[in-house]
Order: sequence, then structure tokens, then C-alpha cells
Amino acid sequence: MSNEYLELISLNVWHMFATVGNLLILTWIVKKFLFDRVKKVLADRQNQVDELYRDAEEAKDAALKDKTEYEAKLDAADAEAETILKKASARAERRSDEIIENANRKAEETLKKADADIAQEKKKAMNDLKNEISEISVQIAETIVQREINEDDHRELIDSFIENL
Amino acid sequence: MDSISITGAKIFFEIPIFGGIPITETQVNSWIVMLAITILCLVLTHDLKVRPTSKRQIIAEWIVEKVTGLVSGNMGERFTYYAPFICAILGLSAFSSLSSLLGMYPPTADLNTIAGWAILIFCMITYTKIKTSGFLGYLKGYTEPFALFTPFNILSELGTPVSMAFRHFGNIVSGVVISTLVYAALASASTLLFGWLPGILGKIPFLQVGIPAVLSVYFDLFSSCMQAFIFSMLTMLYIANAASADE
Repeated sequence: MSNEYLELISLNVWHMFATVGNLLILTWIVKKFLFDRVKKVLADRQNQVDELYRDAEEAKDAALKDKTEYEAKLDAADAEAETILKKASARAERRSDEIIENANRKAEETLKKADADIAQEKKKAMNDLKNEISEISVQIAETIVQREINEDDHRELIDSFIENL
Repeated sequence: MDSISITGAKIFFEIPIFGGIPITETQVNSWIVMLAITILCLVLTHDLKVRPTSKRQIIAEWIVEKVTGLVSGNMGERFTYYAPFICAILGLSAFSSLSSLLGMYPPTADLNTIAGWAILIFCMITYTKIKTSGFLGYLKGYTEPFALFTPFNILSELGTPVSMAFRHFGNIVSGVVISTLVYAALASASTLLFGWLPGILGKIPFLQVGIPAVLSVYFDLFSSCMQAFIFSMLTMLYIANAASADE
């Protein structure tokens, strides 16, 4: 190894070339081994973050869709329940009307029947009465026929007949 | 008293072609620095995950995002592809200068290194200008605002790489020079103050302990990072300026 030194300020074209070459090589190294690698990772991360955001957005949309669907379904169910309730109450009303009507009709029928019965009874009673009267008349006639009737007896008889009426 | 000699890089050997290409400490240390940066890149980006679990990955992402942000902030979005180049300059410059902390000869204290970079950047500026306004437009740019200014414009154009190179080189080499001087001065002062001590005690340069560290903080740490940053900033601004000349 020699102990020669360059001058403090000296210019050597070859050294400058070597320096430029060194700088360019280092630029390539820095680009290849630092920038490209880190940028790739950063891009990957950006992609992943974008993907996550997209997924989250999709999940949110789906959840919202589900929510509206459920709400619609719930509304429909409410409406259905209401119609069912309405139908049921209408049917119940109709049924009660029917029952009441039936009862009324039956009562009326019963009443009519009772009236008819009464009329018949009355008629029967009347007939009985008539029969009795005729019986009595026959008896009276018998009585009249059996004994001598004078004027006074006659009068008395008639009076008693009328009295017995 | 020892004589102080401040020299450039040590020549290891010469490749006997083209009249001899000397391989110096500058070259070797540059390669070491490049190797270190390469290893650093590989370590930082080893086993990257989409969900970062290691500090290494966070540091790697921080570096990439900061440099990309710096480049797009200073040069505009369309020049973002310059980010690896700027990062390489920043890293090479800073680590080269910082290598002096390990007692190595900093490659940035060699004018050839910085001059090479500056010439490369000058080429980039010129390329960007020609690409932006065409070759004729580029030539016409030298006659602005009127023809009398042409010589001054050429001078200022050439002054760009020269000033960039000497600014960086000067800052680093001044640190080297001052450190060397201070070391030598402290050695002499030690000899004067403690030389009377018997035996080997008299030869220990007590004053060299501690005091140079303070200088080192400025010249090696602060100045190294500062110059690397300034150099990259100027690179970005010059190139961006070249592109926007016609807008």
C-alpha cells in the first residue's frame, strides 16, 4: 500500500465518472429495494382498506335493505292482524245478530203459539159452555116436560133460568 | 512540533489503464457507504407486511413517505418519480459525511465526488429545460431579457453546478480541516502542559479528549445532515424551476 495522497483539491475525470455511476447505481438500489417494496405494501394496504370499506358499505346496504323489508313485513302483518280482527268482530256481530234474531223469532213463535193455544182453549171453553147450556136447556126441558107447569111456575122457571145464566 | 499536512484522499493503488486511474479512499469509502445503505434498505424492507408489526417497516414507510412528500411538495406531483434519486443523493451525501464519525475519510470531502454529482444534476437541469421548451427555446432562454445578457446567463448557468459542488465540498472539507487543526493544536497544547510528566504519561494528549467531540457534533453531525439536505433541496428546486421556466 502506497502512502501517496491526492491533493486536497484535485479533479480527476475518472473519479467523477465513478461517482456519477455510484450515485446512479445507488438510485437504482434505493428504488428497487426501498421505494418499490414499500410502495407495493402501501398499495396493498390501500387496496385492503378500500376492500374493507366496500365490504362495510355492502353490509350496511344489506342491513338497511333487510330492515326495510322487515318493516314492510311488519306493516303487512299489522294490517293482516287488523283485517283478521275486523273479520272476526264482524262475524261475531253477525253471529250475535243471528242469535238475537233467532231468539226473537222463537219468542214470537212461542207467543203466537201461546195465543193460538189460548184462542183454542177459549174456543174449547166456549164449546164446553155451549154444551153445558144446551145440557142445562135439555135438563130444563126435561124438568118442564116432567111436571105440570102453571103460570106461576112458568114465570118462576124462566126467572130461575135467567138467574142461572 | 509535528508538521501538519492536510491532504486529499489516500491513494491505495492505480489501475494501469488510460494513464493510470488511482483507486483512493474516496472510492473505497463510497462503496462502503453504498453497501451500508443497500444493507439498510434490505434490512428495513425485509418481510414487509400489509399490517405493519415491526418498527423497521414503520421507519421504511416513514422514509419513503417523507421523501416522496418532499419531492412532490417541492417539484410537483409530476416529478414524484425523482423521489428515489433524491433519496439516494440524500442518503449518499449524509452517510458519506457521517462516515467521518467512524474515523473514515468522508467521500464528500473529495471534490471529485461532489463535482460528479453536480455535473449529473447540471445535465438533468439542461435536459429538463430542453424537454420543456425545446432546443431552440432553451438556447433562446440565454438571450433573455435581451441579447446583452447572454454571457452572464451562460456564466450563471455554469455557476449552478460549480456553486452546488463547492458549497457542499467546502462545508465538509472545512470540517475536516478545522478538526485536523484543532487536533494538532490540542496535541501541541497537551505536550506543552503535560509534557513534563514522566514516561508515557507525558505523551498522552489529554486535551484531545472531549473537546473535539463538541466540534464533531457541529461539523460531522449537523453539517453533514444540513449539507445533504441543502444539496437535495437545490437539486429539486433547480430541476423543478427548469421545468416551469416556460409555463
